[in-house]
Amino acid sequence: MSRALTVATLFPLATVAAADEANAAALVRRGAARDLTVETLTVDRADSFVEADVYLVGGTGRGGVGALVEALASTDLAARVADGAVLFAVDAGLDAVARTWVDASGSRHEGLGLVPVTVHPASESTGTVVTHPDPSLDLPALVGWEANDLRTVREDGARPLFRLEIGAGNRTQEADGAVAEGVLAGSVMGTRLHGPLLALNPELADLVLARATGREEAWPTLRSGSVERARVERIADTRREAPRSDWRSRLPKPLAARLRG
Amino acid sequence: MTDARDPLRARLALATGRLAGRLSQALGKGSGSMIGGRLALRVDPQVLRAVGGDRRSVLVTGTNGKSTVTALVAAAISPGGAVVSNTTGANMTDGIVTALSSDRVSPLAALEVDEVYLEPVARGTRPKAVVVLNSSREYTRGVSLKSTLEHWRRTAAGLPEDCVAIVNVDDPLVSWAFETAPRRVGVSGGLYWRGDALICPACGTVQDFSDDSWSCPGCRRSRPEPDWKVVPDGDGWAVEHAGARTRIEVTVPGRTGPVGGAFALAAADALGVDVDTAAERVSAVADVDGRYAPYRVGDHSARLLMLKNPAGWAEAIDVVVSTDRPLVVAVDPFGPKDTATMWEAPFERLAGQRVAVTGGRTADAVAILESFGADVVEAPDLESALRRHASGEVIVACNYPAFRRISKHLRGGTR
Repeated sequence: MSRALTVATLFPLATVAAADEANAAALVRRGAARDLTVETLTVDRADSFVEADVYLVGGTGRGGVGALVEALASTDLAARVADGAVLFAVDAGLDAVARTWVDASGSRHEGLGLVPVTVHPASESTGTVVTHPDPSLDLPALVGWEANDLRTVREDGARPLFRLEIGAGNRTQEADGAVAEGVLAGSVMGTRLHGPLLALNPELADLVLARATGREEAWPTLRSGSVERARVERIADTRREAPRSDWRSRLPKPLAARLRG
Repeated sequence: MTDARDPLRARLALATGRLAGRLSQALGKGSGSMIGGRLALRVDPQVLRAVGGDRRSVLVTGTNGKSTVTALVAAAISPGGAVVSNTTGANMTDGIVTALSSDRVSPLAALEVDEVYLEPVARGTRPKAVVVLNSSREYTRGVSLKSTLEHWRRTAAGLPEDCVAIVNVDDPLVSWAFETAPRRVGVSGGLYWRGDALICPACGTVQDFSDDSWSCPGCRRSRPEPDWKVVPDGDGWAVEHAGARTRIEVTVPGRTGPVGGAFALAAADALGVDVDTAAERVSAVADVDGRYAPYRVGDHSARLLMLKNPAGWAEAIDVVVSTDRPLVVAVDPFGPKDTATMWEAPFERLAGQRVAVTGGRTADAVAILESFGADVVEAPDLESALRRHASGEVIVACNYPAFRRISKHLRGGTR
């Protein structure tokens, strides 16, 4: 018998679209392939908040994070997450559920505090991102894109969600020199990576579904040939273009900073 | 061009802008259509009012279809081209300043306006009509849909008393944002993309949609009765208005053409142009910027569509389904987001149907279309993609770079 899951997309009108909307549909598709019935719905005001197994909150912020924090704070999201519901928070969504976020003027604001993260302003970084495979999460190399001007500092020893082969990621100094991206803390997955991330990377959809259903063991292998081929091609393109897109980093630092300005 | 009646500061602003525009052209930095206007605005923020003068303007805004409808409006309101228009698509305040300052004589203006610049442009041009086509989210902007709608609502409330807001009442977001306009005319323009309008912008309740209408169970808003309505008419389309029916022929495929035509007729009517005359003028528009005229390719006739967001793709899918035409999808690399919008489009409407795919991002298009159950075939180029379908008219749905490449390629061939 197939199990039923509810996926709720939170406050999409309050964020700037960044193709994250297709993530819910990706969970439906991958769920069907895993014998899970996934129902999706949208919440755009506090009193239509529902008990769901997975919450998606995404988009880019650009000044709208305060409103998003307020909207989320007026729901039972924190209680649901404490009960183990999965929260997949992208970019502005991650800012909103962080402990603290510092805006461009240097003012500190409280987030929802669902992940041990503080967000600081940094220089702008945009482009395609390639992650390193992660056997501990059963993930191959994934692809997404980043478009933010933020430094995402994890606290309390929280682990990043990904380590990047290509991309700027959290802009933190990691002890092992790796480029960290996002955060994984309890049932919250936070990332800066946009795109229909779960559609482009079905294995990441699997991870969300596994956490939502409390599944411990790895899923049986399920190939998705055409999606995989598109990803392989894009990763190859990105590797080819990576050195060129990063020519600024070879300039003296003050000059590079001015060019970015 | 400066005018002796301009205030001194505006003249200085325009002279600076003109010089910068020429410099930009001379240096090969572009058409100079933005930099000139931008500098002129620096020197005199009121310069738009000076170059707008007392001509009668129609502004056209919305997420999709602005260029097309602006061209139709320009045709509808004037027979001889005595209308200034920002035909290059430079649709922010600076581009509009440049367009208006390049022609100080024409008594009419049809201006395409970027959604988030509506307020300053409306303040500067004091339009006779504002056409609002639709509203959906885009990826490239640092602005949420919610703040765009609030901006529109403020702008609508401040429109001149004699300005007619011509709004798509099928779009609940547009309908809400322009409730505050002093004068409002409704066009039934269809809504292909409900994805961003599921929730009532006024009260946050999930709306009820029927095939051609909507209502909100929370605040009891519902679709206003349209004053202009597109209806099927034999093998084509007509617009119903004030008890009369006007046949309309537009080369744009599917419902998009007649809907754009209906907006143009409503705008012409607001400016006092006879509706039948306007319909004839609109029907005489053969093409807009190489976008709609079909190209002859062997035994096929290719109609190109350029899509940049889920709502655009949804509309293209609707054209394919409603006209029962076969589809070629052409997508080229365009940065990380080149095919992302397609993941959100309702391709399930094409499940089981054959779709031919070509272009530098074929692998992505195949992945997307197969996820939605289409019967996908790959082709190395447009010609062979077309040959995967029976002879006749084919819809070629392109992302931006593929559209540029293919229309350039086809223009070199026969038309």
